Amino acid sequence: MTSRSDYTLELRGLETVFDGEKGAVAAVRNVNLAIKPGEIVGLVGESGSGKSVTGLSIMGLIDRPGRISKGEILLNGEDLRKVSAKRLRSLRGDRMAMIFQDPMMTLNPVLRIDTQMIEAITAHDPKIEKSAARARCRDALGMVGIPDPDERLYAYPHQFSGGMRQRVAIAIAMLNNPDLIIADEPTTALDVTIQAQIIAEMQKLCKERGTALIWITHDLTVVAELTQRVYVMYAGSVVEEGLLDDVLDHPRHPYTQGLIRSIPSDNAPGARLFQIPGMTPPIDRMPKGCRFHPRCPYVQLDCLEDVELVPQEGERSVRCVHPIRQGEQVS
Amino acid sequence: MTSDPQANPATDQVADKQQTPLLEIDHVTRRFERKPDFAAKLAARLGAPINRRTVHAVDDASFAIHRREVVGLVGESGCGKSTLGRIVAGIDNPTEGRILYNGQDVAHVSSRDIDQFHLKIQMIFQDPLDSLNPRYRIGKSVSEAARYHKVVPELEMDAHIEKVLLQCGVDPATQNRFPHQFSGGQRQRIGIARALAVRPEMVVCDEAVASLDVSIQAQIINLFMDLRDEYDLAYLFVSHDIGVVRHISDRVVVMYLGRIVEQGSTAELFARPNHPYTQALLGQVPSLKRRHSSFHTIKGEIPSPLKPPSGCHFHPRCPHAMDICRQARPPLKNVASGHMAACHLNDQS
Repeated sequence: MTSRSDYTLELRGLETVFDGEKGAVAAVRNVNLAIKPGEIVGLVGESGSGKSVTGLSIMGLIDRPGRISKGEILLNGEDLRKVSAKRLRSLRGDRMAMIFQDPMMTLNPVLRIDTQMIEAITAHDPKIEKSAARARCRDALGMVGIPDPDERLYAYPHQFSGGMRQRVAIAIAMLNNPDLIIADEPTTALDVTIQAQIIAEMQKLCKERGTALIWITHDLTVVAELTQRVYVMYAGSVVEEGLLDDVLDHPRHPYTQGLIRSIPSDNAPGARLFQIPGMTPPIDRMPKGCRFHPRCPYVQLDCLEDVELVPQEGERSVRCVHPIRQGEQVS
Repeated sequence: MTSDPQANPATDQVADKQQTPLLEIDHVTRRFERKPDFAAKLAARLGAPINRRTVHAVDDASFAIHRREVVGLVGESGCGKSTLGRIVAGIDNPTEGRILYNGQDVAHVSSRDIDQFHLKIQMIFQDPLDSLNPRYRIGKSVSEAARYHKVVPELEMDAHIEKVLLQCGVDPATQNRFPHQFSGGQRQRIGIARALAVRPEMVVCDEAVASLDVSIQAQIINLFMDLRDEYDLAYLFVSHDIGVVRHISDRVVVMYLGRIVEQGSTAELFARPNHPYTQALLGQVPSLKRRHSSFHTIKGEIPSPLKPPSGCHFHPRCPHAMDICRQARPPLKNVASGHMAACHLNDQS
């Protein structure tokens, strides 16, 4: 049970499948991921890439018909797939927490904020005095930049704006000082000004407390601002991983390159955007071999064979038969 | 003239002045008022002061859109950009002010001809599921308005719809499917086809690419630009995504709490943002080129439109606020050719 690992979280060969009439289909396939204390890692992908299912799998929030079929999920060296439901429950919300895109998924609309926050503390520490718990809630609200935390504790969720609600959700996630926070598109629904405030807040909190943060998003520009390392997912698998600057400056997987080139703010205004043709394949009809090959501008015959995530020079890996060389680009 | 965004803005303006704008928004105000309920009326009878809760969703906004021009309308949620977009599209009416289409006041058009005006300005919504009837096959949704208004003779209708669908990247063979059988990007294409089927001159896009994946978003943005070239369309592009607006727009209008605080050509506005709000807003747009940066965030949030701050609405969040900012509303003034901003700082020097 002790931390034999240097990593806060390690995923080894995670596979999550959904059972259907035609058998099980894999939403997440052989995902390996590691994150150290205090590190901020981006998990990037479009809808259907399996990024959210990966997050939910770590938290043990996959319900039937979904199930984790393979792999290890090591939180501080402890395999979450092998622990009892009771142990998992005591870890969730205490050692690891999740922030969702819509804060109303976290907040109960009919309970006051203080009720919900104190519950999150007493669930893991039943002996704590109520005044102490309340003080911790107040501090947490103050830390995420909510003005008048003393007074706001008595408010209901609907009395907060969208951005403030997300701050409350973040405060609840931080309450028990977890080792790991998984944030699933937490700023996607917010205005850029509020997004900037929340990103700045999260950066500060993770640095101060040594919390490991996995930021799940489809937005590469947010990842560029916030993270140190990035994993790019496509159709259920990690297709590229590496240090942020390496991946953004010299993407080696054609999908990563396509994503980067299709972002409007980094193209010349008015210029035609690079577009990746087609769309993500449905989960039950994955193409053979490299799953990106039907959309890939560099496709060759041997792309029809299965391809693994291969380590490259530096701290990075690419799942591609013909990784892009520096400067190579199709129009 | 405006087709090439790299074109010299000075010559653009000369050309602009010579022709009547396609659409002119002239001092438009839209207020939403809560009607006093029974208790309030009773209280008023008994001499209590009437507490009218009025929201100025749009407060004295003026700008013009020319043929083939793309105007971006940006601001935070609650700034009134969607309300203004809806007024332009004819879904909502201004409380005060005029909408001029080809120089003609839309409010004074006879009820017989008003359809023709509404047809010329179409709208595309964020979620096409809102604008497509879930029980109609998409071919019917796309053709319905065109058929009713006899945009093309009935004999040519099928060919017309097929052409529009093809142009929007929808396989005409899928006409008999229902909206839920399409992906989000495909549905947005169908929404665009529906708008184009009546041959509009202008399209209002309200957050039209906001809910799409990055790769699909690029496809749709390219489609918008292709269609502009094909049909000489003008766009009012309402969005909170400044990256997208910068990419697609010729001119940008910035709104804050119902008021236009700045407008100008895209190149000029991004190179020299004048209003402190615009400066702050543009400074917070994430970009691949900005890495590991710490933001200088704007303090606080957009105030409630029920109780907007006095004077310049932005003063409580503005780092340069002065006494006059709390008292008087700054007028929208020219700060450069074709570039206007509403800030008291411009009167200082």
